[in-house]
Amino acid sequence: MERNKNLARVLFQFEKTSLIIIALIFLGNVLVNLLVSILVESLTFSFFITQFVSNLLLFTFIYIMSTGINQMINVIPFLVSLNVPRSRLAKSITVNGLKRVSFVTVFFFLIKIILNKAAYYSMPIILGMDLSTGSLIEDLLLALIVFLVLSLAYSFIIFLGLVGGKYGWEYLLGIIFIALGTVFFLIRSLILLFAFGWRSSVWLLLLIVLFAGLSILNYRLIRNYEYKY
Amino acid sequence: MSKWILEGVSKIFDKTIAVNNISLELEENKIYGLIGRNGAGKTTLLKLLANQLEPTRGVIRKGKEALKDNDSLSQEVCLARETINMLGIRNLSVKKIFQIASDVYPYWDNEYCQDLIKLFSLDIGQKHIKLSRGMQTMVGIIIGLASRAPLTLFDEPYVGLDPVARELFYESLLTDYEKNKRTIIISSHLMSELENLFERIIIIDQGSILLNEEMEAVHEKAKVISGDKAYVEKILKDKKVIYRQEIGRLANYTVFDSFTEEELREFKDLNINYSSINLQKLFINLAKGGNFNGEE
Repeated sequence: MERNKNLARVLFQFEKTSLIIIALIFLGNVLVNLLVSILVESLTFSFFITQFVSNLLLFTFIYIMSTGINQMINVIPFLVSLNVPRSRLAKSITVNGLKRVSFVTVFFFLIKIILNKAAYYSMPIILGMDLSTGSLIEDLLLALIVFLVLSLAYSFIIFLGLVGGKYGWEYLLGIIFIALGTVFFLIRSLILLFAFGWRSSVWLLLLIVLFAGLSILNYRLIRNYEYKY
Repeated sequence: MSKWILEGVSKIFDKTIAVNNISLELEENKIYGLIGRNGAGKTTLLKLLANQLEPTRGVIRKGKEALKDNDSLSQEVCLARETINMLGIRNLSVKKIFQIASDVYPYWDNEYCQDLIKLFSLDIGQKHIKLSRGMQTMVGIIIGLASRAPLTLFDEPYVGLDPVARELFYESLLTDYEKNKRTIIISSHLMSELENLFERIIIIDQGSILLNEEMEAVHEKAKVISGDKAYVEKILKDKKVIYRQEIGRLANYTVFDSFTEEELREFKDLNINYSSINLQKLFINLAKGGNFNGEE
């Protein structure tokens, strides 16, 4: 347990700097938006809330992605070069991502609850859910979707890096093209999903399966990682 | 006590055979020298031992335990390098790097690490990327020494070090080795300086082992014999001739074999020169195209 705590502490050392930078940029953005909404008469406080939530979504996504990229480029090779036990490293990388995503999801959930109370703020309809209703079940479902999407994004970015490192960057480009092609092929279904929540339970199941599959693949790839530097 | 054993280990990168069917037994608590030319396969061999590369063929084990997928065995190995290649890590301070190393190596001796930092006068507040080449090498050396890993590997641990720093490293290594025995492998080109450290020598060329011998035996058996070609070749008929250099009627032979008192008397009678050869010269003659089969 002590060694696992040490590894968690080590992993946090690597992301401290990017976390501070992203937080500063986000706060700067929020400050600018606040000033704009105060100084420009035609803009309401509701505008600021919309900007705040959009920025929060964007920057937490950037934070999760940058954590994944940092772990792939720096953390995994360095810790493999220090002979950290592979199974521990693989578990820590996955758990580290889950912890970060869970924290972000809880944070979003709390923001949603607070906005529910702010009656003057109207919320959009996404995935066929009217977010203004303030239904707890819908909020929990939304939190689950945010959790799965961010976890999948984190796992996918690490998967790309590990595959590229092991098999060559041609395979990496191949996977990216396949992923983009799949999205393009399913664009109609995705639009229907976002607008009307069409077959959302199927998509939810798909997210869970993809996330579980990528986690297992990442575990194996880290266990067999070769330090070629 | 279990030996580290390599059985038929090969490592192939695309079409390049970096390590070719190596079988080797490493005795515990010995200092090994791993000698080879650039591209001979030294670093690849060390990385295989450190479980940082997977063998294409063959098995690496300690006693009966295989290294593959064995986390507890991997933690017994430390491969100390002269530099760190990841930009994100090089932007960390040296203090942070040592902190990370202390968190991951199970046998880490922090007190010894602090002593070494003082000994090498290393500024640990500096970022790794801002250090000179020699200082970066010192970071690797300190990690290797302070890890106290039962199998500690140093990959060319003298790059960028001035003679004083190299001497400090040799002294620290020997002093600590006397008190805390472990298996140490040092890959090197600087044979003249390191020869006295090594208890056993492994010479590698094009991915294959050419020599795996005790240093004492190397000193005893590695000789240069020079004289009249006709006479010398008669005596050396059944001996292991590694390298031959002819100048007219005269010839120099690098030999790796033992000689009887009678044979030595014959050398004296026939005015044939018989002298010892140092490790560096032995290696150079091997590298020039000699081998232990006596072919060129």
